Amino acid sequence: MIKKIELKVGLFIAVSTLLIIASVGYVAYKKDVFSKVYTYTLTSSTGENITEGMPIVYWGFNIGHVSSMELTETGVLVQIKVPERNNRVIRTGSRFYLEKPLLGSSRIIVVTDDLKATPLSQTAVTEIIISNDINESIKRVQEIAGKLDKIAANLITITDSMADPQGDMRRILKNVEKMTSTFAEKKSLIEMVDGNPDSAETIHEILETAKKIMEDVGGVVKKIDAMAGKTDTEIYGQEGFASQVKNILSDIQAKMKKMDVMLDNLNKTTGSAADAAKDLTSLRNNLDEMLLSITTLTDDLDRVIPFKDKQEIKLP
Amino acid sequence: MKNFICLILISILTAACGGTKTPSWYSASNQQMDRFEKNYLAGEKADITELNFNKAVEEIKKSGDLDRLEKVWLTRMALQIAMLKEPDGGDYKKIEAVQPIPENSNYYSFLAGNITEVDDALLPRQYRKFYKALTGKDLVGAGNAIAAIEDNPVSQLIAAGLAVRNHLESEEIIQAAVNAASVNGWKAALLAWLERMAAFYESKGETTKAKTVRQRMELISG
Repeated sequence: MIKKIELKVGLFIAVSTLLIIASVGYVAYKKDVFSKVYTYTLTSSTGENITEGMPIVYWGFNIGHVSSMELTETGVLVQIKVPERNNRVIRTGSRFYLEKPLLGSSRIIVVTDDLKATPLSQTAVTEIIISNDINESIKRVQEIAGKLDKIAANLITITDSMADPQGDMRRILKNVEKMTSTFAEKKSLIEMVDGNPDSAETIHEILETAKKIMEDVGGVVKKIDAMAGKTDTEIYGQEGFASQVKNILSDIQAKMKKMDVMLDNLNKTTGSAADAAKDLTSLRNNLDEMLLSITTLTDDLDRVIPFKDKQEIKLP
Repeated sequence: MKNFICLILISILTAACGGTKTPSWYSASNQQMDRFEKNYLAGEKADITELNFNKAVEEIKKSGDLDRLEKVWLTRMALQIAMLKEPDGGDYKKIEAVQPIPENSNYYSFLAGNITEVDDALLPRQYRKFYKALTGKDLVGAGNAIAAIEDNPVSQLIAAGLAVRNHLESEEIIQAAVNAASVNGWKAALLAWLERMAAFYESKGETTKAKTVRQRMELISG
């Protein structure tokens, strides 16, 4: 009897041990502990924004991580580890971009144009390219700020002779000036690049002002539109300026609404780096879209109110 | 408020009556080409200049205006010469095959270095004097002609680039290009021409002058 109990206990312990070993083995297998891991060396002029454990991303998927960093005389050597099953995307000619989102943690993005190229040698040292996409956006913002300045200056000539100081156009002008100065304020832009959480506030402020401008312009167009029956159909007709501007404004307003929701979401998720990064990518796309819309609107204003002579494309 | 609306209305109506209505593709393509030219010569990142250029092409394609399309490709080619780069006609030849325009074909030959095929009467006015010097291999004349295009710095750089490509190189020609780039703040063009100037001095054995130019380059680059 006693022997039987001992046998059962022994069996139980053996099965449990086997199960534990199998589970640990399975987890280890899933974590690529047994698979071959390829190590590549990257170099960067600075270790800023690079940390050990930082993910290596390809097409949105984590394919490896930064395993170690070493300071050298000329910069920083960064070693990354990529498991064999993901290694097919690391080829000769692969480029490694350090992406620094506005908020959230940085990551290294791999871009491979030719997946059929020979595998990247593990002895090769590839330079990390610092992605400055947000800087590009800011550059475009500044360009547009310049254009808004010009429009503001031209609006002054219209509004100067107006009797009503609280008129719609004067309010638009005030908002355009406010927006331009916010864009031009160096401190705000630096904050945007640095990823200071306060920058969300700055962006929010800019977008809010932009929204006001668009709403006010929309209001003026609406008033003019109400008089369409008595005016030139080319300007006020279905294909006319007023209609076009209205369409643009609707487009901008729709985007603003989307951005409002996203910005609110952003404020909530700043604690979660991964979520924040995802949201900010789409924020950036929306910001770009909005900028393009504003550019189109200003171009149209330029066209209808010919501030400068029509230009020909001439051979230089 | 009534007065206000009337004023706006009158302003827009007057503006609209005063000039012809410009299509959006037209103004957008012009603006993008202006930006392309400025950014390219200033040494802006390639993806930005490409964005400007592609946007201009995209806008012109909306109109199907092949003359303009040829002109933007020729402009790009000319700017490459102005920056002392190897000119690339891009899609120009393909478009020309569909719609040859004598003025554009002539300009293409001028840029491509097929000097004998060029009709000076079809060239933009600013190059005519320079063209004569070029065909006559007149180094001094070319230098004077380039200096005389001072009111059009882009053309000045293009002419200087063409002179160099056609083995007409002098201190005056390079200096005119350096001045044009410098005055307009086109950093990339300036550095390209300073590099050329340093090489020119070195080829003449004037190492001190070459060293000074290189020091100037070091100070402004970066």
